[in-house]
Amino acid sequence: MKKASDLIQGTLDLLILRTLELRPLHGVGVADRIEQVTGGVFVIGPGSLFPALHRLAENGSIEGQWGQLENGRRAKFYALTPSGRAQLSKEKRHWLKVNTAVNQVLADEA
Amino acid sequence: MAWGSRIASLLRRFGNRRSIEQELDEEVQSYFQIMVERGVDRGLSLEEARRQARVRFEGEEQVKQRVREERVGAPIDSTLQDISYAWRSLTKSPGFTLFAVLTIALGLGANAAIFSMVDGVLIKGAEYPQPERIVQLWEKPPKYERNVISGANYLDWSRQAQSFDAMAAATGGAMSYTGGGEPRSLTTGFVSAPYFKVFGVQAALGRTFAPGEDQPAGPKVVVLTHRVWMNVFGGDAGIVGRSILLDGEPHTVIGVLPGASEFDRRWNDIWVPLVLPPNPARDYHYLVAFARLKPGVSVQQARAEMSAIAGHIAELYPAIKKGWSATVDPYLDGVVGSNTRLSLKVLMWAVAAILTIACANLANLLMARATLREREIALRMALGARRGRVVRMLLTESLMLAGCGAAAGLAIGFGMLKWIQSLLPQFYFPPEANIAMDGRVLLFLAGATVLTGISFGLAPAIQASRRDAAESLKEGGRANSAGRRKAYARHVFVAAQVAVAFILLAGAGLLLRSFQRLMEVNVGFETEGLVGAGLPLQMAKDPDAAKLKLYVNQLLDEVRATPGVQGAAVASALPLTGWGDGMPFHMADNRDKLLGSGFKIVTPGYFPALRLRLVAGRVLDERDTESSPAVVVVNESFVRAYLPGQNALGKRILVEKIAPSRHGLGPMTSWEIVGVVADEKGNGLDSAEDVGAYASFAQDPVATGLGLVARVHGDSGTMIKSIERAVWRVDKTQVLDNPMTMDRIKNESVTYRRLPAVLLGGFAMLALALACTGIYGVISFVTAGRTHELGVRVALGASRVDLVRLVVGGGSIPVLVGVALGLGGAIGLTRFIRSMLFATSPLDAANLAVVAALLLAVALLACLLPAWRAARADPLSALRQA
Repeated sequence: MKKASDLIQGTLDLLILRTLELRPLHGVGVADRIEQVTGGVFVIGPGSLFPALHRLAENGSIEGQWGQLENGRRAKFYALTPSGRAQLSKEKRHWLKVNTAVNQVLADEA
Repeated sequence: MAWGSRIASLLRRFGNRRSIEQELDEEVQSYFQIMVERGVDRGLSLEEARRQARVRFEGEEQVKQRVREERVGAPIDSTLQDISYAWRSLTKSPGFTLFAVLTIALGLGANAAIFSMVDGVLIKGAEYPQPERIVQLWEKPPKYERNVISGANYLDWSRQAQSFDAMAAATGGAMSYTGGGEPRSLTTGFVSAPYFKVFGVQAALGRTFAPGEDQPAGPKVVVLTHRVWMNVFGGDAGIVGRSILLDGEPHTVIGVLPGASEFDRRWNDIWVPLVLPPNPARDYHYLVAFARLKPGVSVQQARAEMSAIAGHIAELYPAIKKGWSATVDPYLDGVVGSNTRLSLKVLMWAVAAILTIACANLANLLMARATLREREIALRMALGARRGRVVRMLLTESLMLAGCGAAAGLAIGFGMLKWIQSLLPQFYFPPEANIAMDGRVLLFLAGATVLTGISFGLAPAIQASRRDAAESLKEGGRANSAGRRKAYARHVFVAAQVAVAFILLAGAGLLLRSFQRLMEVNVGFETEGLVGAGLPLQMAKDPDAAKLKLYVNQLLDEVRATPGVQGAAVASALPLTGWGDGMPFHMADNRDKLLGSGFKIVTPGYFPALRLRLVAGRVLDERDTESSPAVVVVNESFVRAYLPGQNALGKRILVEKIAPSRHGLGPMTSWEIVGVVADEKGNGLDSAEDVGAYASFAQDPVATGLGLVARVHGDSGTMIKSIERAVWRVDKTQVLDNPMTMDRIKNESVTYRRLPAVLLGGFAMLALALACTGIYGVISFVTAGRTHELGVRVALGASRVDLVRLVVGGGSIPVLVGVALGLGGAIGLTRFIRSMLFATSPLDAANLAVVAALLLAVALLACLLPAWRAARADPLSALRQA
């Protein structure tokens, strides 16, 4: 298991944006989804998730809205904004570029 | 990125901080609840689900704090928060705050005042253009370096010397101004025409003297100082060209000097040309001379040339100038007297010492406070504060203290400077000194204090924040042994404070003791009931001996006839203001040896008016007239110096008479000594030598530099008015210059000694007070930490006296160390003020003993108070409390 604090900040942002690309989620939803998709490699605790969510909301990539769960509990749902969508595609490209580059180095070494 | 939305969110947040906090809280709560619900859904018990959620959470407060720190305005936000925290915590302990601020303020204030003075007098240069080119010229007699100049020599110098752009002679005096109500005396600078050229000063209005205006047939012109133009002539814009009456003669105002300049701080009110007769005396010395070097000419070159010129004069007039030469001094070197320089330096070190004590106090206070707050800091960290944040908070607090202290210090410094300036008699500092609160000095001092605050406030804060939070909380503020090193540091500070205070007190003690001895000096006459005033005569320019004597006698008769006046006299110098003239002379029976003596010309009433004690023979009286044999009365010092073990009466001395104008010498005369009187302290209280002789005004009348003394009965203020009216009955244009009681003349004559003594005394008391509060603070703090221990001791049977002894014993060690260090320091350092002392040894044992006793007593008191309080505490409650 990898602790969220070890993630590079940009990576966490990318993961959150990608998670919210499909549909709006509340905080626990985001954390659960990332944990599920990465097969438990990334477990993101509230201590990392909250600051990241608020940071993204502040620069306008996502937007929080209060809503209700099935059981009636109030929770804040975060959704991607148009500018967040643009940022996501930019970060995706960037990530692929970096990823490819790193993979090439590793392959070369092998 | 989206700056618009950032700014919007920033504004939004400052707009409604509370609702944002509530929303964050709600969001975190909701997150927590959802996690718990998921746990329950997975089949956990409610308790277990909550526990797991909490573990995942790592603390709700920490999470919220991290969110806050991520926000856009976080730095501003947290700074505002720091300031409001600091404000709250400082106002919560007003005693500490007041104390710290006062400590900084006093230390800073004293420094700001004294450094501004030092800067104004010693550092800031004169405002003359190229002041390094101005020199002062002196005649150099065979046995010493500097003597004032005779008129003939000045004329020869100024005609022959090539090293200078301009040379000017000057002498002082007074002129009576009539035509504006009561006649008043204006202090006058009589200067050669190039005088203002030498100093490079232009008139602010009109012009200064033109070449030739100092010639015998020149026009009667006057240049006013800005001060007099404002005060006497009401700033009349049309003053230039106007004619004013000076000494009864019309003078044309040709210019006004610049205001707020050296010339407004000079003694002189007005300036008129110094007109030398075509053939002035070469053997009567009364002029000072200044010159401006030509560009590229060095002082050495000027010296060489002047020596050559003076050497030539000595060859031409061997009878009076044999062995005489000339001295050339850079003017700026002579501006500040060595006494003033030393006093200022001593005061500067004193205030620097006070700042040291204040900083030590501050350090102690902040250290004690940080220790007391270990628990609070631990709590803050447990609740989610990061270490950097805690340190920043404490730093803000220190800075805030320092800031308030600096502001208060500025006010105190300003007040202190104004106060000291009000103590200074007029013209105490040289006119070139321009004293004002100095911004650079202040900035530097404030920086130093802030740095102290930071370094001593921060170190313990960082230390405290590093400690294990749980450990601090458990310990719960109980006295801890880890504080031992800090206690040691505190004791070092106390010892240093005591040592510094000791040295200051020792220095101040010496100055005060020596001042006291000075005031106890027997002046040789009764000052009480004696009043004196300058008596500038309008006939001074061209005096006729017969008219002069007649006029003076008329004045004296009218004054003596005034009810309340018991005696009056005119003298060539007022008591305690010098001898008037210093004359070389020979004993009639030993013409080889040239001797010297003060030579005062007095009317007979002088001796009874002063109540000078007659030792032998008779005093001068009405028998001594123009036609009777020339006689003098000498004083005991004279007899001791020149006629030891002999009967002075009947002996003769050979002295030239002084010309009525007092700008030349009359015929060589043989004077018979007819009486011996007790020494009058002619040159001031601290003069070591008072060799003097008195000649009768009837036998050698002079018209300038005269003073009137009168012994009066009743209120001296009223009597001065009556005497003025009596004088005006004789001549309604006659001025009495600066009339005052002899006691005041005496007091003013010692200002240069009183001022440093009073100021250093004040600063020493300040140092003592600061050091005491330092001791008190440390002992209180250490004792407070030992409450529990003391309680145990009482429970085990210790008596209150034991406790007091214990606490005081612990506190007295650094005090004793400090006293020992201070004693050594005082012995080493007080010799530097030897020249400021009068009849007092720098190692005065009584002084050191008194200082040591005073410090020990006060320090003991500072220890006793907290010790007594601790001992009085109920042991049970002390134990329970802990």
